[in-house]
Amino acid sequence: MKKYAIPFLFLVTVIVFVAAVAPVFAQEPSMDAVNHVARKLNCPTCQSLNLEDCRTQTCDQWRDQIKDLLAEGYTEQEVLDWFIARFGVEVLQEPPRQGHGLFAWLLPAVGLLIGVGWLAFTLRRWSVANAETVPVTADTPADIGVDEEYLRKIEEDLKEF
Amino acid sequence: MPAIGYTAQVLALILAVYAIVVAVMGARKNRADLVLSAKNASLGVTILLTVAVLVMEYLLLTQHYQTEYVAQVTNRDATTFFRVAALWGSQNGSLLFFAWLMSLFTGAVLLNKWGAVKTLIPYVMAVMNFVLVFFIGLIVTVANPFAQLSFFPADGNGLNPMLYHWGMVIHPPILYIGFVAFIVPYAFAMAALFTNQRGDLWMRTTRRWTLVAWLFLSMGLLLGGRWAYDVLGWGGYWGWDAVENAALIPWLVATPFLHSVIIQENRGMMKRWNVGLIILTFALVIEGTFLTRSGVIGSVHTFAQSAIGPLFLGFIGIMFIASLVLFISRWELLASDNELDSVLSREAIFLLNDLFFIGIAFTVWWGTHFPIISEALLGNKIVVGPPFFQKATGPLFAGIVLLMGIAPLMPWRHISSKKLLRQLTVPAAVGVAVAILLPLFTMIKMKGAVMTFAFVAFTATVTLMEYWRGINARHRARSENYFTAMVRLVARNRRRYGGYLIHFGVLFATIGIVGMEFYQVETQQNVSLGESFSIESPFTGRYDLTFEGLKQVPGKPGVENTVATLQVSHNGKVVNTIEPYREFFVRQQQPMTIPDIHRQGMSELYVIIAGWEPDGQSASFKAYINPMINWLWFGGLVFVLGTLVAAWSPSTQVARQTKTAKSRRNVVEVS
Repeated sequence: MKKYAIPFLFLVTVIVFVAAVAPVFAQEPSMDAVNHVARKLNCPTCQSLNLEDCRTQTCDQWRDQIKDLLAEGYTEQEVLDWFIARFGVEVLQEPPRQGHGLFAWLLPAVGLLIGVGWLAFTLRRWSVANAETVPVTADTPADIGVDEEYLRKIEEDLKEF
Repeated sequence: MPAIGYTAQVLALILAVYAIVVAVMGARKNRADLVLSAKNASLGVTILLTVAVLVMEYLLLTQHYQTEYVAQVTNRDATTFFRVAALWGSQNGSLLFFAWLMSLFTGAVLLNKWGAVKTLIPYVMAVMNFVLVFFIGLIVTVANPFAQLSFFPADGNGLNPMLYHWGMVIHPPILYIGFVAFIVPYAFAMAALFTNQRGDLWMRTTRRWTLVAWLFLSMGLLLGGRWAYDVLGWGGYWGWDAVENAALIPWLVATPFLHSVIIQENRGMMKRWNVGLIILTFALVIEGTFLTRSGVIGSVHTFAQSAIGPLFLGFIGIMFIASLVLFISRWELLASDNELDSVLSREAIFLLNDLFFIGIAFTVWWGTHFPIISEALLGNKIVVGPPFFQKATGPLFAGIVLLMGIAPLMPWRHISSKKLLRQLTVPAAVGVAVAILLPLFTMIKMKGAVMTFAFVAFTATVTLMEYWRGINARHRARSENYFTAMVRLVARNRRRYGGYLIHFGVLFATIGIVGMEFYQVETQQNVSLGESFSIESPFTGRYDLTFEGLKQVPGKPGVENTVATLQVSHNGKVVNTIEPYREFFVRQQQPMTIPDIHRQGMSELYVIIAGWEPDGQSASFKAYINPMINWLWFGGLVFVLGTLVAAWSPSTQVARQTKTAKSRRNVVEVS
């Protein structure tokens, strides 16, 4: 037994030492790291400010909470989940891309698609050759209020160009 | 005294109702005397509301705290300047102010000589007074600014601390002018529909009014951004806040209107589209006022409790539906005079441009209303913050920058693809060169930024070439020197070249926005006295900030300032001392964080105090490097200048333009 005593004592000493010193070396999350997460959350009291930019006391406490969680080793997503679990998706700056939040993202896309469809339809309808339209005499550019001589000059210039 | 103000409001309401009835009767029965009576009644509304505003200012200046509104927005500490400005410092007063500004425009319209569109005026009066009746109705009933307290308080509460800034003082009036002035094109469009006019006379005659409205709305947005940057202390200029969005959305609809109006004038197309856009713009103006005034954004529940919200919603509904009914009943009348000749034409590009703008407007509208909609319909309030708006609208904005460069190359009707390609060569080469060289030789490597800068370079080249062509043509034809040629070119066609100047403004602003959105860096550090921290950006190099002390300084009355002193070194050399501070409004118990800025070329170092220890021995600071931010403000100035050039067209020129455009039109106008 005796021959194990020294290594054993040595091991105990090391463990105790590490346990005592560890908190000193554990990285305290920097303010920038906290801000990086806070930016993705809403200020709980004021409207439309994110947690990073808000200077109220409540927000200070929330940022401290983020700091504690990060210090405990939470990842960014885990911190966000922690807040969602307690306060609902309402805390997020960006609506989630699932559940009800999906509507926020989808509708503009749908709207834009309808717009593109409408545009294609309009262009088609307009392009349908219409016999009633009087043929154009010249390819007149858009200048309004410019005298003809000046227009001609520009045309010449364009040709040279 | 308050009784006089209230009586003036009540009389204004009666006169406005009278003006509607008599104006319509006069037009129907073709009786000039009735129309004249309606006109006098309308002017009477303007005068009476002016009286009400003057009475309110008198009460504010003499500290008549028994008037509830006065007690709410001023106190003994307020300076004369902020007493005067308190008129628009809170809800009831700002509604009075809004109605008064609107009545000023009604008055100005009626005092103008309208010539050819005179027949529209009775209906214009009716529409304008209809809108006025609503706003005056509000201040007479549920939002009376002259309401009295049962006692005389010794002092008032004072303005919201956020409003104690010159930018915040001039920003609302400018925005309001932008809002209310859109009543002019709207009222004329409605009047044209009432009287079955199919021409674009209503549009031409109100063109400058529309531009003025648009100019003020744009300036309001710019000033709002500048104020946020200078005062709110979060390092940015636009927070996609609902109140900001409420002003941006009408702008996003009015801008395509200003563009497609040009198509109608030149080609007699898009009549329905234009009427639709102006109805939508004005409806959004009223809806924006509703959003910011009803408390609906905070929660659906505050909205339900406020008396003003449901009334507003009802009015918007009535106005919008009535406009739509009228619009649809005149659908056939507004048929296009011409067909589209080719997809490769300016008309088609303008349509695409309209689609982009409306797409952004819809996205912003949807994002702004989503929290309310999700709370009301899904029972689960989902917040939509800046990241959503940036991601959803960013690509569309970049698309608009590109279209801004393509449209001027496109002639009306048709261009052959060969000709278009030839025209595109130089600008496209510049764009491609920028796209290749930027990531190779500069720190701008992010895809989105490189692409947007390439678009900016392309569009800037096209716009410069447009100027150059005109100048060179004049130079050769008239042998004017280049400078004279430029001045005369712009003077002869202010609308076109003013428009290009506006485009330049947008391009400059885009540079600033890209810099901020892609390359802003920030850090927050806690430092003890004498310690320093650093922040670095490839755009500016490295800054070291040394904390030199914290002091308490008396600020404005009722405000305690805590000022921090920081020494700024740039790349190791001391360049400046900056003093960000925090204002504490004792009465309201509310802090304001005011940044201090060190400028370096177009970029800025922006520092705020984030907090400090009571002993003043250590404090934490937030520092930002905002690359190229000053391009945004510079672009804003160019933008405003361009709009002034475009709007400043003498009436003779308008007449001449009408003539030339008409002769160019290939279908006879039947109005």
